[in-house]
Amino acid sequence: MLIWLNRFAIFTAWSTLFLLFAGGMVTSTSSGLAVPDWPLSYGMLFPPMVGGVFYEHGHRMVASFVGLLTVILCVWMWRKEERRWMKWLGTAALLTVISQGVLGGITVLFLLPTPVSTAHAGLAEIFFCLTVSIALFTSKEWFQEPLKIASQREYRRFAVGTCVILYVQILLGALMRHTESGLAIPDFPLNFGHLIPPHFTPQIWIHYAHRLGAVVASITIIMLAFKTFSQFKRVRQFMRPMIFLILLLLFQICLGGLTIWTQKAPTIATLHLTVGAMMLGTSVVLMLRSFRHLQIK
Amino acid sequence: MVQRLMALLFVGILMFSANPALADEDEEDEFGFVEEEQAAQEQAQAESEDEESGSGEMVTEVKDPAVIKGKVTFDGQGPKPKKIKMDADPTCMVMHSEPVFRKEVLISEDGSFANVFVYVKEGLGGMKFPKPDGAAKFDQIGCEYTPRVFGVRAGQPIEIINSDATLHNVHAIAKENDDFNIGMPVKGMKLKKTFNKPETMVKMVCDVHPWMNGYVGVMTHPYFFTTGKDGVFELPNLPPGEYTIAAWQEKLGEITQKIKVGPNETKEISFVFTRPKK
Ligand SMILES: [Cu+2]
Repeated sequence: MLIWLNRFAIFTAWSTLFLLFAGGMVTSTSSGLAVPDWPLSYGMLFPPMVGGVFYEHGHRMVASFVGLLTVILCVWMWRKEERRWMKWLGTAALLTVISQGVLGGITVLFLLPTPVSTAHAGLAEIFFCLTVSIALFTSKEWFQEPLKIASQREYRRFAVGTCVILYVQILLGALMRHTESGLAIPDFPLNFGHLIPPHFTPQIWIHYAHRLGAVVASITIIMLAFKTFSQFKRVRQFMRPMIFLILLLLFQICLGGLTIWTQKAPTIATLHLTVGAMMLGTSVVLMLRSFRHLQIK
Repeated sequence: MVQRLMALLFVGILMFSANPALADEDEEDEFGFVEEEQAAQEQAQAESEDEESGSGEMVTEVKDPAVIKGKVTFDGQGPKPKKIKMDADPTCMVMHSEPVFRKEVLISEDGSFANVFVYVKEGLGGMKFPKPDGAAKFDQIGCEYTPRVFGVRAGQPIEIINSDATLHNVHAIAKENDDFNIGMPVKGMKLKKTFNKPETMVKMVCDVHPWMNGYVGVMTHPYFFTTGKDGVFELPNLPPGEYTIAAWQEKLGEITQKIKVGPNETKEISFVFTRPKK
């Protein structure tokens, strides 16, 4: 195994998480159009970092840095990585990050059309999951023998399901942010004082869907936790991400409520986004491990 | 390693959040881009359409002109004006020696309501009016729009000026017209933009400085007025007739009144805004 490649991959994944935060801050502060041109910023490489430009151009700079990391990672993998499929995974990550950059440009040039900016948020999470996977696949764990724990197919299905549900939930959150529906329901945990909002507009629908999604995601995670605790109590590889996922879930619910109570304070709303990405990344780790270590009868 | 990276991430997040937080509501709309030349062409086209489709006659001189004038006031206690935090851009801050307040709701002590856009909404039928020469001016000065609320004629160019030594982006959010977003990074920079379709109101925002909001009323006729501090308005040179007059305010919306004016008559009306009911 290549220890430095692994370290570099881990660094890239964490940098991507920070990039997600930086990108989220752009939307949270409504700075997406503070720089009207792309790829240059006001015709410059480094415009004055004032007001909304700080967030938009800051996001572009962090993004360029992550893009550079991905280029290095991809080249490194093509030269040193022996598993062919890993080279292609690196290439996929590189192509994703390039498309993501272009999508970001389009969203600026076309003045933030909702489908494009939501897609930009959705692709960001996919890229993040790719970097997490590469970090995991280059780790010692993937070079040692799998644990070969006997299990049922059901656990894997649940792990996959958790990832899918979390991703859909993230997309709903992105849609909510890009349709300015974040405060369409002004109270939390109730909805206009009710369990079901007494009236609906498209924005309330989107917002309510994100709240229902949170309930579904929480139930799924709790069920997965029960399965993990009963089946793999002594398996560190499963217990660690599972406990981490539960802690993130608790934190995430608080952040969701705080987003409403602070009327979308930019940092809170963006932390909510970041923790959401961490939950997705953690569930991807759990899912990949369930494929590596479990032997289905 | 993971702990160290987590700490790094945390520091990064702090750095990003330490910048004075901006939060401003902002509606998004359809997108579109009109280049200058294209806009000019569209303008020419609109003009020719105007003349051809003319169901109404071109009014070059109004006979027995009437006047509608009056005052806009706010009844009751207005909201306390909020201070603008300009810390996010030091250039803006140094241009003001005194604190700057938000100007969404500008009410004088006697209740006179400023920045209310008063215009003829209905009653002119198909009448056409000659286009004014020259452009309307829309200046960015001291990181504020001057004027904040104003009217132009459909097809009349707007000269947008940056008088500040900092950068602004001019972002138009329209429903009938095309949106645009253009950077103006240099002091003294000017550009011309034209809205061809009537619309009340096109919103202008600067996403660099979220407190910068402006509104343009795009009119098919010359009967519009933006109130000053005294709340007074005047619509002179009107053809005698019956009109619906509207008073539009950016936070409180629009109120209307019907009024009839005879030949050479001057009538006074008043508009009174009140606190919106919850
Ligand atoms: Cu500005």
